[in-house]
Amino acid sequence: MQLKNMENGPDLTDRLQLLLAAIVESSDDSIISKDLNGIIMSWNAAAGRMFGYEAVEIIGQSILRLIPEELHHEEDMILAKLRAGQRIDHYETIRIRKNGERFDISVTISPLIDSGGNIIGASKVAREITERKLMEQKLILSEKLAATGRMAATIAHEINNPLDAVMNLMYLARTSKTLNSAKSYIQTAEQELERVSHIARQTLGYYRENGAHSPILLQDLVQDVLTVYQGKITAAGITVDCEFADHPAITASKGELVQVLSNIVANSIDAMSHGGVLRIQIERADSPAGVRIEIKDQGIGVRQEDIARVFDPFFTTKGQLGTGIGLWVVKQLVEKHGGEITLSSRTEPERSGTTVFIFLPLTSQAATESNNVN
Amino acid sequence: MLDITPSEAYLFADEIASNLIALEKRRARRNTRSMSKPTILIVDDQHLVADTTKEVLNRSGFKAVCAYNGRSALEIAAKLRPDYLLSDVLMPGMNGVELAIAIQKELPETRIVLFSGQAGITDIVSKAKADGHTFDLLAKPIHPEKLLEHLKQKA
Repeated sequence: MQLKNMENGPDLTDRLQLLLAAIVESSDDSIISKDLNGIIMSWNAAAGRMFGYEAVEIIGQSILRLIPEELHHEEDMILAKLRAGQRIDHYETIRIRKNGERFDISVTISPLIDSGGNIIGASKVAREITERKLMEQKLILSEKLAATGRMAATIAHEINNPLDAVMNLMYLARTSKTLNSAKSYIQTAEQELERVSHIARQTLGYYRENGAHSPILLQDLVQDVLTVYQGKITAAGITVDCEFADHPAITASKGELVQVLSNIVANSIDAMSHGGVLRIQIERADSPAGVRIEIKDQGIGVRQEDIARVFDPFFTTKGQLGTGIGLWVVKQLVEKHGGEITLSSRTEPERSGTTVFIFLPLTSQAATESNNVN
Repeated sequence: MLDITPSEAYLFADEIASNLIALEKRRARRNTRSMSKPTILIVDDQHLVADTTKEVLNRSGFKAVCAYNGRSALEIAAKLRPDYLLSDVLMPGMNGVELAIAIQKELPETRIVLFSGQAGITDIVSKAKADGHTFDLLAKPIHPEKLLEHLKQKA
């Protein structure tokens, strides 16, 4: 550390230490140090405000007092990393205040090394992110509503067409001169009504459910999403090529996975306004066990400089038409299920297109928690 | 007094006569047209919607013809010169608004009505509006009697 305007002298070390202590004390972030057994060694004012403990009552106590019981295993993982000399950056987790209230924090933990090079403990710099988490939840909810709206508009189109034909058929039946021709119109009307109820069953049903986890065969979900977008797919002159290898059912939220798949399929359709092939492959994954899905389009593609940002909130390449949160929510939902999502794309004419890869585990932490709640 | 030679007078009279004949022919054509059934071209990629609408309109005093996409609708329209165009909006290839703009340019007398299952929310219609093309837009499903009433109002 370098100091300005400080004369060298015997008390320089003392003054430096006082300065550092003042910096730590006046920080807005909680700064806590602990030894390698997880015993708290120092506690700044911000930590007091955040956790509700005075320094005197918490110093010498175990750090576990700040961690919710079901997350105590995190401390073992943290200590193991520290002993190996590793640092933990911006780890997002939940901690607990003196009054029992839980809150979201982002914490950076680094090993403390003495002059002999030995690891003697760790410093923790923690920032409360409850507000940010709340904002994120609101954003997810608003995207869910927007996705519902977009899907509703598509479903409306798929339902209104057969209904239009049914209205004509009933009118023709009513004004028919012979019973036989009236019967034939009514028969066709019945077939159209069957189509309407099929679409309603396949699509509107999802909005009744509350995100509860159940066993799901991904290929069924893909088929349902394709049913919803059939009109748009045909209108854009897109050919769909599905290749479903044998794959196990996964435990997940049906509504959320429909949102994931429909966002990606809708993006592909938007990118292929002049037609092309939309290829969807599903296969089993072994280590870790789960299902892999690949959705590949021949659309306009995403520019290389934009690829890194496609999962960022509010980033869009669709101008006024995009909200920029579709893929961000897709990523949140996939990760909530313990899965992973990546995207590759190219924009060269004739070879352009985007491929989205998703891995979903057989069961996720979220599924286990949801089932416990249920 | 006109200062013309007899041969000039002859040519002049001939011109007047041929103009009168052309005028009479046009009048006759207009009369037969107004007495015959109005023609309507129905365009929808959903065959059943197009076919049943055609039957409804044929039973109600129209001479209806169907097309199932924008391109073939344009070809039919060029020959048929229909009094009305009734077209879906969302169709593969040429959409209903593109078709309507093309027909408006080629056949300005054709009365145009669009119908769509996603009335009012299609980006296509709002974009056309921004470009100065406003069309009547009916929401599907539409009762046949309401459709007939709407077409009569445009007559």
